[in-house]
Amino acid sequence: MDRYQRHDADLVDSALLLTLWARCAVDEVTLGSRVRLMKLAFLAATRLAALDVFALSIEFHQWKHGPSSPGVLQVWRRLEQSGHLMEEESWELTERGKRLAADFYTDVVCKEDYGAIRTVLDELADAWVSVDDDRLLREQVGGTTVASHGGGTIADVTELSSLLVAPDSGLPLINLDSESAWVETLALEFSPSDRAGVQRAVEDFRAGRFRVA
Amino acid sequence: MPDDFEWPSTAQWQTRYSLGFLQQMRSERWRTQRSQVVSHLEELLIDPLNALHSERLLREHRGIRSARYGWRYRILFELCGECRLYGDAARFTLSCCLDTVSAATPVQTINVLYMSDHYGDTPDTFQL
Repeated sequence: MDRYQRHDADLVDSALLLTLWARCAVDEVTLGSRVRLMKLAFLAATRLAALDVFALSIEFHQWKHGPSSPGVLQVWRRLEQSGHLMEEESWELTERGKRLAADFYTDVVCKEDYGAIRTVLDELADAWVSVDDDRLLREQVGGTTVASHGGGTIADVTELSSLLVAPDSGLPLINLDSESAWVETLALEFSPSDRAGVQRAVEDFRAGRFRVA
Repeated sequence: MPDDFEWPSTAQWQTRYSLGFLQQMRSERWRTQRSQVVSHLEELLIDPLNALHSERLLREHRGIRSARYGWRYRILFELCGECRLYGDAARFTLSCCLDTVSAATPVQTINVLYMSDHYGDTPDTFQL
């Protein structure tokens, strides 16, 4: 994956994780604690990897409190900066985030090509929607077996060990070329400064502030 | 950059530039690259539907197109008439251009809105 595809895959990761968390929400607005969202991301990534589907290109390592990923921290920061999530006592979905998650699920995840992704998201949603119990999630994650560690469980893996690594040569299952309209849209969606610039330009045209070449 | 700088237009496509875009091009960031921007715009004007990976945006940005300027930047523009073609005219109106189109003068208009930074707000990479 070259650096451009890497950046674009980051945009898709953000939309996909937002969709996952929105579908597993505690209630209409509340997504849950950082622990809850991190564990849900890990469960989704491991289930997809077990199907040889690398829809998420983030990596996980064993950390003090179980699997953790700098990629997920980056996704939180992007989604918060762009007004899709906000962190109060727990993570909450904004109206903008709700709309994006719903549109991404309908327009991308529900495509026939991405059936495996939809299955994993739906299974996790069935199991965890409205269930706000970090202990239960921790137990489930702790019991997850890790192929890269001889089939042992997460609980047996030493700190800082790599748990799930996206293949260097592999492209994410969500095809960045065939979804290029979505990739371009996500870039603007996740950039508040560019959104504001476009809005100002639209107002320029409406107010006649333009130059004809 | 002087205000009388020659921004491209063609016989087939009349080009209109937003004040915001022109201000961007006068900034220190873009002033030195205006000739490259012009050459990209000229390429875009040959075939605005396909050149520079021209792509229609989706959702609330429907009606806007993006074209690549290198790997990092995007020329965001709007093709007059396309909004009506896709039924977006009511929600994305730029006091538009179809009135300039007639059989005798088949000139259509491109509205150049803004130069966006495709990865501009990418957060720093975190390390555990």
